Amino acid sequence: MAANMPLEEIGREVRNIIADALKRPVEQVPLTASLESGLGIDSLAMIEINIALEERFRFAMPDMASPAEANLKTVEDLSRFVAQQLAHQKGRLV
Amino acid sequence: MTALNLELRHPDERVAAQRTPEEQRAHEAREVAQHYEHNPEIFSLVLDKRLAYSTGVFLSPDEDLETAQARKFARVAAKLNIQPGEKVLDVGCGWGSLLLYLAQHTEGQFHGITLSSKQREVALQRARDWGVAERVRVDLTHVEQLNPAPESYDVVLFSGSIVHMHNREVIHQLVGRTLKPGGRLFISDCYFPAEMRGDRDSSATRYIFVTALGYCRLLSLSEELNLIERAGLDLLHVEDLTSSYVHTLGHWIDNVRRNRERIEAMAPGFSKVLQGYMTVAKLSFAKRTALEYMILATKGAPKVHVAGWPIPGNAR
Ligand SMILES: C[S@@+](CC[C@H](N)C(=O)[O-])C[C@H]1O[C@@H](n2cnc3c(N)ncnc32)[C@H](O)[C@@H]1O
Repeated sequence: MAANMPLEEIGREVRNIIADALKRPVEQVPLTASLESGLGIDSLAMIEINIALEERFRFAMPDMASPAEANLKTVEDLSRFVAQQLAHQKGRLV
Repeated sequence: MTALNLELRHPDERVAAQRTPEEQRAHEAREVAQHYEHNPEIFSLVLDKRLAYSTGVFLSPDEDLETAQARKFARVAAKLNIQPGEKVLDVGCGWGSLLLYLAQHTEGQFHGITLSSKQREVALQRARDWGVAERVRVDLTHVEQLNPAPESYDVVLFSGSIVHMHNREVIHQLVGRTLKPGGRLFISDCYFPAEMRGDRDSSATRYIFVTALGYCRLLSLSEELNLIERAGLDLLHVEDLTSSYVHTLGHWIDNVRRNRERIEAMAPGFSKVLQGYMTVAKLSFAKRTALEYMILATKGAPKVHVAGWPIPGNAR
């Protein structure tokens, strides 16, 4: 179940999803990459990534127009955020 | 009267402005229809039971979608005060949400038009199911090709549809001619704030206006009101529904989440398009970089009396 998936695995999935959305090889999306200044994730890319995360982990992400709005700077921040949300929502959809 | 110079606010509008009216009409008919030609069952998983594809009216954020849409129908009915035998044109009637509600609750004669043949079929089937088919007609046509006789309708409605139409001056002149004296125009749709607020050239804006919905043109409210006045109508009432739209979109997005697998089984990729454009819209209305209004206007002496409003129009 997604709710008790180890952080490492979540991080891997998050990197894959971001790479997919940006159409880049996953090697170019390390956990340390900055979402906005490094990867250039704009409002639409953020929304698309969040939807892909929801599809993959079957939970609901909060609304955000940019990573900064949720205080997320790096890919790792986003992975931790997903892990927290998953633990919190226990796989509930909405 | 010289033509009004409407501001071109988005790159796709600037492209549209280069086309001839015929080219733009064909563009709208083709691009806009695509969205609405998706399997109607998908929309029945996302919208309220009457399939209203425009904002409800929420008195509080805790209300459910059915309550808010029922209140909207009742409020619009109260605004229009349709009398027995009056003729109503619903431009962009969708699957017949408002059209059929009004047919069931008044004794008017109803004519809906849409760009989607699937929507037309659903609207007509429901008209039969609900026993109002003899007073409801639905045609597949672009409004600019309708050519209605002068002074032939008592009411003209645009609910969530005028946003798809580029040549707004032409549309308003058509409405002005087509309404009988005492006729009413009703619009429920979204607008840009008059001053620049937010990024209108962003990929998010393009996604909603072009990728998801085919063609959209948001005027400022004052531009639309100006066009209505220049067509010879008088304004009766304008109401802001921006926060209601935030709540409506929130319900629709949750319904997409709940039904993701079923939607994907019917149209692969479409749940992402729906959730994506609805999220962009929800964030825009929440930040008021886009605004939602209901507009009511009359041709000549009004048949509705707005002095006593706020109108009740409560959901029953
Ligand atoms: C968002 S839906 C709203 C449906 C309905 N009025 C409601 O509120 O539930 C927009 C509708 O407008 C129709 N539409 C858009 N442009 C149109 C045009 N130029 N002529 C006729 N219908 C049009 C579409 O086919 C669709 O049915």
